[in-house]
Amino acid sequence: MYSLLFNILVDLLGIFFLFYSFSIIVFYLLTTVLSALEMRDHLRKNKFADYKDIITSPLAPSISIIAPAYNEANTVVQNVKSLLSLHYGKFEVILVNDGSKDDSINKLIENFQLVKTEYAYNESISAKPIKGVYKSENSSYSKLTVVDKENGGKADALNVGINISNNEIIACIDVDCILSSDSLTRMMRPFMEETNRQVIAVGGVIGVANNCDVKDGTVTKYRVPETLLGRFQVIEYFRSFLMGRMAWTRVNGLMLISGAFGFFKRDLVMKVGGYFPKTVGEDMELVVRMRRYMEENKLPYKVGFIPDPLCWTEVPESEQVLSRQRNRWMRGTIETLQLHQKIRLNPEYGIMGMVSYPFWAIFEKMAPIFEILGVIYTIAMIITGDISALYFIGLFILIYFFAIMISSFSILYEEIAYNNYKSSKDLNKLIKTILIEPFVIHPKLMWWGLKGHWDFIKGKGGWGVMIRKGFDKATDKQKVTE
Amino acid sequence: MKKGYLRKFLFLIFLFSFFNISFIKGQNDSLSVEKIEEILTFEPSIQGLYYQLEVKTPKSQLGQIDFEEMNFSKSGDFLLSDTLVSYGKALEIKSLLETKYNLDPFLKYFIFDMVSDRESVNAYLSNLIRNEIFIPGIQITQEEMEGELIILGSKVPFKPFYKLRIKLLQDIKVILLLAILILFIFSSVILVLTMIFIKARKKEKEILTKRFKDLTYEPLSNLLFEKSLEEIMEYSKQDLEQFLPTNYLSKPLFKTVLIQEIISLNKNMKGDFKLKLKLIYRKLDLHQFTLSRLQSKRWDEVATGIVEINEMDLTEALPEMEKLVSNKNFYIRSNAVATQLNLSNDKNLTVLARQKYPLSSWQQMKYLRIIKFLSTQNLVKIIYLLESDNVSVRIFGIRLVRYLGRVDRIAKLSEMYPTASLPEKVEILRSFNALNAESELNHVHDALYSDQEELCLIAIQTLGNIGDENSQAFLIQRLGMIQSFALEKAILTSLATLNKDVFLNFVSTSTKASYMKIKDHLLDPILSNV
Repeated sequence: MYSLLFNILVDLLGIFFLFYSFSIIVFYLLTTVLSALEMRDHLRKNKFADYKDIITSPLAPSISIIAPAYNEANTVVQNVKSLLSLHYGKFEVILVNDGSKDDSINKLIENFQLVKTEYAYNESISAKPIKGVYKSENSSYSKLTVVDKENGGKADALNVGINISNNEIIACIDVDCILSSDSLTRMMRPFMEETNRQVIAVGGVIGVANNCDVKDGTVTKYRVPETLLGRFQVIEYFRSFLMGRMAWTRVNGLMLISGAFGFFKRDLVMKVGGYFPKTVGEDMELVVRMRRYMEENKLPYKVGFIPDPLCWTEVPESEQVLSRQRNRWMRGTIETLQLHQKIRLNPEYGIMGMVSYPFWAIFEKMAPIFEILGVIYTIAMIITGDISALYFIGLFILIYFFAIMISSFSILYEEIAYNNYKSSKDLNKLIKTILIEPFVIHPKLMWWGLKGHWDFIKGKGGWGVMIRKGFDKATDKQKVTE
Repeated sequence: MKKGYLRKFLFLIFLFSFFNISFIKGQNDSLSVEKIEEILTFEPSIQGLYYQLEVKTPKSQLGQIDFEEMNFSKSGDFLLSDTLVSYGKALEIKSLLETKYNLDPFLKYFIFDMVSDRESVNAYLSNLIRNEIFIPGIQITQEEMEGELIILGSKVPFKPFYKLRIKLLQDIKVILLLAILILFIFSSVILVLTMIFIKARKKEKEILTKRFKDLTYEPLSNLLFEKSLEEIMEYSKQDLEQFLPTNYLSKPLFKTVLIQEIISLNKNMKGDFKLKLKLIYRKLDLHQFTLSRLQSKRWDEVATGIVEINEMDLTEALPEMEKLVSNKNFYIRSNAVATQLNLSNDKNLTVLARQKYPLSSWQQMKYLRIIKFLSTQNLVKIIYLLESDNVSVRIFGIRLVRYLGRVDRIAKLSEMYPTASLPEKVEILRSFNALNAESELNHVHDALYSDQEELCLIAIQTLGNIGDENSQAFLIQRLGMIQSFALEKAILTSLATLNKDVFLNFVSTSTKASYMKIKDHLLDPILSNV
């Protein structure tokens, strides 16, 4: 009896892992092809775009840049100056000091000659109370608004910024990000270009700034980071942005816009109730909720993506910080999928329900679990002697080389499209990284992902019951109160 | 805490369940000695197992027993039986010798050619049964027995029972694995080759482009700064070619680079220099190259051709542009319309008015730049745009009224307003606001009471600019009808702009918290001045 059950379990698992591996390969190959097509089209379209026009055109949409800051006293002044110097006509910068414990607010007041005002703040989206809205007495800084508020987390700070904002488009960015001077003009193109459907959001690429030279808010000399973890993230960002998101854009299935650099239609963000502060994956959750709103109201829409290098950030190079980040990302993914379980395989939600959601659920959320199960399965097979050396070696070689191939493509994409890492030494370092990544870094990522699952089960950080129950409609977030 | 331990415990049980199952399976497979004895006795033969009886007889008995009949042969002091395949038969003979002849025969066991003991025989048989090589009760023919796996080490060479080819074709998992491997190798090879090819081609093109740029720089400078317009006019194509590197003009990439350089210089120069550049362009027959681009199947090639036509004022290409203004490709269409607007000198803007596709903001931005330039030379006729069937063209027309300051079209906008769509109404009100159209207050007052918040908001803002005393009353009346903070703020802002005393008087008599908040905001010197 036991023998029969064991054999059935072994066979089922074997077929499952084989099918899973096959699906991953098919998906990634499709991603490679779709992203190549999208990149080709993007580069061709770029030849005909005169971005200078946007700066002064009355037809260009106005932008509110919202930058939440928490304990950023060392860099906040320089970062705000950098934001104020962006090349664009109609924009404002809203810096939200999210209850920093350092002297961020004093430094801002001092450097920008800020004065507390009687700003008529209206809490359209509920958020933690604000302590004050500051404007500068110096007309050179008329585009700057600083909001001081009680600490409530990034999403809460962004919601306050959205409440304050007055413009058509909101740009949610991390204050420590380095933005290229033409970042706003380039990000506006998808909003302005579309004719038959509304562009509800546009995402951009985040580059790795570690070890690079930065001058006047732009990376002038690219170098790969010194550490293995840093270099791995360079490749990972190529894979994620230049391949993954480009491919999803091609089929209008993009569900994630990075919280560090995302542009959204303000009116729609207001309609769906802004960011959901009870999840750690607020960036993905907002995009999904906006898309749901459009699908539920049968409105044609698109989520755009610009692969040009316009924004850079310092990535964590210590294992401790990176593990926390990955744990948070995994919890964010689980929470978002949980909140929007209604769209799962639901044809009413189009490509998002039928393709994007299942992809995220199977290949992102469940990946660490399936991988660890695969390892246990393999060990069990070795112990019982039921393993076939042919399968084992064949699959091992297959997956290893496949991983290398995908990473190599992402580097090649970057080389073909932008060629930022010009030094052959840098390229060699990147190639070495992709060779060892599957053995050295990937297991750690899976482990951190598993811990993310475990923390989600324990209910860490999230809003347990609400998240498990999920939103019935896109606008349900507005009913959520503290 | 206890819950945590319980989860860990359950996880460990799950983890070890694999090992437990295999352990149980192993126990289940071992056979008892009694069972083995039974199988050996009743099976006529078992592959690889042989038996022999060895008898040591006293000389006195040698003549009494017919050993040859029993197939015994002499070996020294011993008599050995034939090799027997049946354990049962061996036991039978052994019993006969013991009972009838009172001898003490010794039963020898062989596993293949090797002499073994009973324990090894038991282990061997257990292995055969566990691995399903031997199934009790089922006889295997001699042919099938050939090529059997040798488990305990034998001098017989290994020959697998299942041929690899048969195994591969019968196992679905192996087929799948092979399919994936083939797909993977095939796809990756194609993708890698494509990428390498593209990169190599791109790099080569970059090097050549840079080289060609360097090669065109000097000849163009010489022609522009050392030769007069008249001199260039007198030059033939051959004369001009002498300024350029020999034989390069036949290369398409060189032509492309040369055109780009000419266009780039044309954008940055004025007067005679522009004329010289256009003359050089034509005399070198580069315009033919540009026109040939329009026949390309690649949309970006066609669009590049259109841009070049626009920049170099190739008016003879206008009929071609006419065909392309309704192209389904956004970039071809946009550039063709822009070129048509620029080169046709059509003050009626008919190419725009006839557009079937909706105009995006991007296109409008592009056309606005051209139309602004045209309107400095001639008064463009926006009326056709305002009467277009295409709503996005009409909206662009309304915006043009505002951007070009066409006060003469206010009456037309007023006429359009009652039947206009919501986006058109919003744009019309914005135009009234921008052009200070005080005569249109009736429409603005109507819009103030609209259910559409967007329209109402624009109306409020417009009233702040062009409203009269009646407007103040309407604004205060409307304030009492709304709950939206954004509208309240807009109304009080407009009221304060229209008449500060009325505003102050109104807010001083009101106790509503939101009004107080807005009042403080509007009276804050920093917020109102910076």
